[in-house]
Amino acid sequence: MTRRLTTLLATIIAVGAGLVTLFGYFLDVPLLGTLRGLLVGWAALLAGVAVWVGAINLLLVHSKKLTTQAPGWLYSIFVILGLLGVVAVNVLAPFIPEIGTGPSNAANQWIFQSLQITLGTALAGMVFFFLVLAGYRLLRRRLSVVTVTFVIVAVVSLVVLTPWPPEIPNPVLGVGSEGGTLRDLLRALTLVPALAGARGLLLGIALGVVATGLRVLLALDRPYGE
Amino acid sequence: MELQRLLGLGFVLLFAALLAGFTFVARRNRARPRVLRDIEAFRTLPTTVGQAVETGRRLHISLGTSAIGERDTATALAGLTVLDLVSAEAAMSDKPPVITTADGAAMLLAQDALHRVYERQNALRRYDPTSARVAGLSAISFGAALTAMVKDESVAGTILIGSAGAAEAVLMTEAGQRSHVATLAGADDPSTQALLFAAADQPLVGEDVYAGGAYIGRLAHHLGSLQAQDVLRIIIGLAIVAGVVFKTLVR
Amino acid sequence: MAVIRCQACGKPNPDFLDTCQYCDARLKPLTVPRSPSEPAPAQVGVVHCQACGKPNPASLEVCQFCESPLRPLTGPLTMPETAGVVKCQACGKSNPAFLDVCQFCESPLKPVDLTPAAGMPALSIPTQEDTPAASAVEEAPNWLSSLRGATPAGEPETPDWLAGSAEAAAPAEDIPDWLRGMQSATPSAPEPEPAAPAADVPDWMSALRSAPAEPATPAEDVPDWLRGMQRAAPSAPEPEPAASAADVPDWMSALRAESPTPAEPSTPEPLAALSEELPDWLRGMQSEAPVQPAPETPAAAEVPDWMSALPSAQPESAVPLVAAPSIASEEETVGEVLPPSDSAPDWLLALRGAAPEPEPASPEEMPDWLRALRGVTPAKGTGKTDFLRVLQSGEPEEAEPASPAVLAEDSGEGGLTQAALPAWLAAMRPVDVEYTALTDEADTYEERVGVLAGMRGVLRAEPTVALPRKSTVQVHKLDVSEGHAAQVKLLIGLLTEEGQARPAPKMRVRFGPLLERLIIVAVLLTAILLPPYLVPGLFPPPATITPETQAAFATVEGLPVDRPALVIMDYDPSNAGELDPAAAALMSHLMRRGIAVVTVSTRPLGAAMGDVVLVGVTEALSQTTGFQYASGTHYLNLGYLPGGAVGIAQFAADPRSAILTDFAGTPDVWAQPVVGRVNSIGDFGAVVLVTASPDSARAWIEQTQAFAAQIPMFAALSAGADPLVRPYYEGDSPRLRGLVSGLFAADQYQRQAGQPEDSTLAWRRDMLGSGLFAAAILLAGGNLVYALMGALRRPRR
Repeated sequence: MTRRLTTLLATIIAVGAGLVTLFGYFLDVPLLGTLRGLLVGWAALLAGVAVWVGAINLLLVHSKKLTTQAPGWLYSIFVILGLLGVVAVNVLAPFIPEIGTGPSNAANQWIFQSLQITLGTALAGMVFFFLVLAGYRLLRRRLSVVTVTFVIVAVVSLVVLTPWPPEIPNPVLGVGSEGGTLRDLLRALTLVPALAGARGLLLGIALGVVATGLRVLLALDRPYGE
Repeated sequence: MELQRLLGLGFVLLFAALLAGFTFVARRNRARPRVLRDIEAFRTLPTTVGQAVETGRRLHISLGTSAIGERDTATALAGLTVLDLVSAEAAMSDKPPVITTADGAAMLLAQDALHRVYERQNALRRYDPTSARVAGLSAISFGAALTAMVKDESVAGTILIGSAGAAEAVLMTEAGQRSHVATLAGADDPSTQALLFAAADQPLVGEDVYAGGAYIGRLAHHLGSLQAQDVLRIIIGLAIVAGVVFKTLVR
Repeated sequence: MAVIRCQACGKPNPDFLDTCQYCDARLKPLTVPRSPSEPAPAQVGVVHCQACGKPNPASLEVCQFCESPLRPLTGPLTMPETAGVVKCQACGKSNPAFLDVCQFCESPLKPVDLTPAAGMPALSIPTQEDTPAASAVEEAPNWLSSLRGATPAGEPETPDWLAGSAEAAAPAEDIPDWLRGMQSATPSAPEPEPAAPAADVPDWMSALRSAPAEPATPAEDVPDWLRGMQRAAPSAPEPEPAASAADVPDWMSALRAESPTPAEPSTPEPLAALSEELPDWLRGMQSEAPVQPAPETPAAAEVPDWMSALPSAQPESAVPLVAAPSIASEEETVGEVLPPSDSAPDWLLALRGAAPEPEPASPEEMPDWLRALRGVTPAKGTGKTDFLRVLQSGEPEEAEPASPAVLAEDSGEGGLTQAALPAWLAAMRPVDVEYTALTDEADTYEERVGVLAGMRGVLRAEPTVALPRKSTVQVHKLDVSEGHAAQVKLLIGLLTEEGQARPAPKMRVRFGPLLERLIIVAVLLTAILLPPYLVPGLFPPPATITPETQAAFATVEGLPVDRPALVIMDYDPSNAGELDPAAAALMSHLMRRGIAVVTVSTRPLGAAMGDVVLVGVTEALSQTTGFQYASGTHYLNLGYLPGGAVGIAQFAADPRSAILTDFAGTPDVWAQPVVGRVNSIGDFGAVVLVTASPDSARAWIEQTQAFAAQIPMFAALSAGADPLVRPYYEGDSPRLRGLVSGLFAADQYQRQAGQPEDSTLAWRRDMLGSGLFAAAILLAGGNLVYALMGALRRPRR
């Protein structure tokens, strides 16, 4: 009974807040606008709290990993030390004049530039290798018309989008000085279908997003509990 | 009221009406389910889940970097729907499924979904709150955590349905390739989808990410939603063609 | 040997056993409580087999269950005289020879002898003559017939009054003992089924038997009065004369003592001593009852008075009452105890061991039923009890058949027609057994093993559950084929493996994929690192500028200088290599024109990136222009904007409520000169998006549209986000006024703005170009090779 009441109450709140926000965006009604602003502000506040919840969960998971010595527990030590270390530095920063205050204090800047940027760019560099490796063996894993087309378009796009060294001849197509080069032709061939396909995907994704939102507004989907 | 707002409101109301109507029809025609286009990823998903259960290993379900309250909230909800449907079977494995996300609010919803699954199975003592976890608070740290998780958690299969950047998507799929772990991945970003098409074993392209509830669970409101999307897609396509023709003729 | 039927399981056991050999229940009540530590008393006359552990009579040399020798063999196996091993014809199991019925299946061990005795009709009636040895085993306490000098041995518990003659098949326990004596009419009938246990026969009755066939009857079971009568009888070979003497009631003993026998002198003293104990009516009969000569004349200790008054039919043949073992003797008759007297009732004469008269002196005095038993026509109103009259008839008729003729003859006088038992029914008569006092219902067994040790009333564990028993049935050698043996071996191996811990299988390092990865990494590294050093300037700086980049430049050139520009730094350090040059170029251009720059980010790391770029640009400009840029006056970093799209909407509507402190933590951020006049996003001079995510660009464009429609907006994007953001630039109502896409566009913008060339931009250009070419070659080459290999393999399959 209590569970049913709780679920009913949650549904009423979710549907009501969603409808107020939706109609407040489309309709120019002052009350709806005010309520919409209020609800949006609360949502932004909750989003900030969610960051704290995530940090606490991260700490708990790695603490459990460390205490149970689950596989990879050694790396959990660094996660916990890093999290607690940064928190400790920022808590103590106001009391240490050399460090400074605020998120841009000297300690944070050093951590960000020495560790964050370095690790981030290194991982991003690995993405390039992994992408090439994945494309290199694509036809070995899945040989079909779709995958062959994918490989051909990828290779052509790489060629046409890359700056052309002057030492490499670039055939000129067309007549006159305004004639396009081979690269221009290829660029047009690859960009148009690619962009069109991307547009179509975006449209479909947009429809899926709207449908998901409407299912929540109509209480057909209740991710907050049954 | 501006024309743009009016058109937008009309579109939303039309969509809602179609969704409600098709859902009603789908509920009445349960004996004759609608035939859906084959999506290989969803067709092989039960096999992946079954292999994880049979081999006593974990199933890894990732919501990506989707955050509740931001632009990718709908993608997070789609991932939660798949989580709810898949974890009912995956929870029977010796090792429970692990759910990863980069957002605290999404993590709470994932915990609740998992809790409901065990509650339905009357096996609450097997529920572990840390099964749903924040793997990393930023995209790169999330991707790096997934790389290690595939090996450490004895994962048998990975399901990624949510927002993901190119970096974390590629890192996750590459880790799965090296550990011989099947990967089913879908994102809401076309660039990431292109990367996943090459790197993942079972990629989801386009709006297939939001069709999990209809394909896996055959839920009536999801089937009705798919039908409504199909109708509107046709309408939009016709409108685009008409607009192009009109603009061309006008010029 | 008597057989005791177990009260718990109902199976027959030799009477020398104290506990049942099947269920270990006590056969006889405990006389002395035994402590748990005290070992169980050894059963007298019992030997436990070394092979199967089961108890066997001491007289056996071979175990009756498993047929293994009970004692070390010292010589050839000899069968004891008194007992041996008999194989049952029905079940094939071994039984002691003294048993008449198989103790396992209860089928007769000895064939039924239907040969009638001399002078008797042809019916299967046991006699007392033909089975002297068996009679020694028989349990029927035919004390009445033995009193008359008849040989009651071998008489089963057939109620003669029912059949008219003794039958051996009737169960002993169904016939009163005193009736059994009536079977003396056919004492010589063969004993077909003498399987009744001795326990069913009262001890005092057993003691009356003359045959020494019951060695186990304890002396204390024989009543004194009978014992006395036994003493009066002539001595006969008795296995347990002491026990037998105790079974003889005193009055019986007295009777016996008074009746002299030709073989053994009778001692009237016991009878006289018994005379006081005898009831008067019996005493009066003593003088009448004829005394039959009997081989055994145990001295009668005391003769009851009533017995002493009885006339003895044959004084010289007074045979004292003997104990049960001796009762079975054919020669012994209890009736000899009584003084021979014609006036003595027949039953008393029988007690005395005197041979009953063939015909009663006064048949009318005999009870009809007794007369029927004796084959005598019932008398009417003789003044004496019928059974006594029968006793007085003297020697019990041997092998008195239940002849229909006799019965018919008898029926004419008494009015009752004596039925004749058919042979098959007679054969079904149970064997007379000795009566054994019922054990107390209370379970006195105390468990001695297991967790229930010391408790009573529990199910016994050892006999049925705990103790493993090996089957005595010999299993012949199995014929196992090779296939079966292999399967058994496999099964054993599987079962053995279950309990063994298997080490985790080592992951085999596959060198093929590893080598492949190494080759690809080597090629890419070579393509990326070598050209900047080997061939610098392979990719020259751009000579032209793209239209969208030019539009962005023009937009910045047209911005008012009195309003700050909002630069949104929505990218992570992973995209810093591609977007830092574009962001730096834009910020430098803005600040050179004197436009204040305010940065914000919806990503926590983006705010830090904005701080890094801002500090770098201001330092570079300070060095170049010599102008010192100050935070809060010429630039400001608002820091992190939470909430994603919702936060953007809130910032667009009211930035002062969305941002409370700057990235440096300054509390009153909106009081600073840079943003002193900013109350909404429309108060900024321009919005510059620097992002690698098309979704971020979309969110800013869409959420700020309502509040920043009139201010210019342009974007610096990564090359990957360009196709999805470009529609906002190329549409009919473009929201973006310019695009700076990728590293090359940033280079173009920098050159267009006249900024000094970044030293790192040249080798970034070369690395990017050569790396992309190498990737294109690897994609094309690798997939072509694998496609060809796959095509070649397919026809083989």
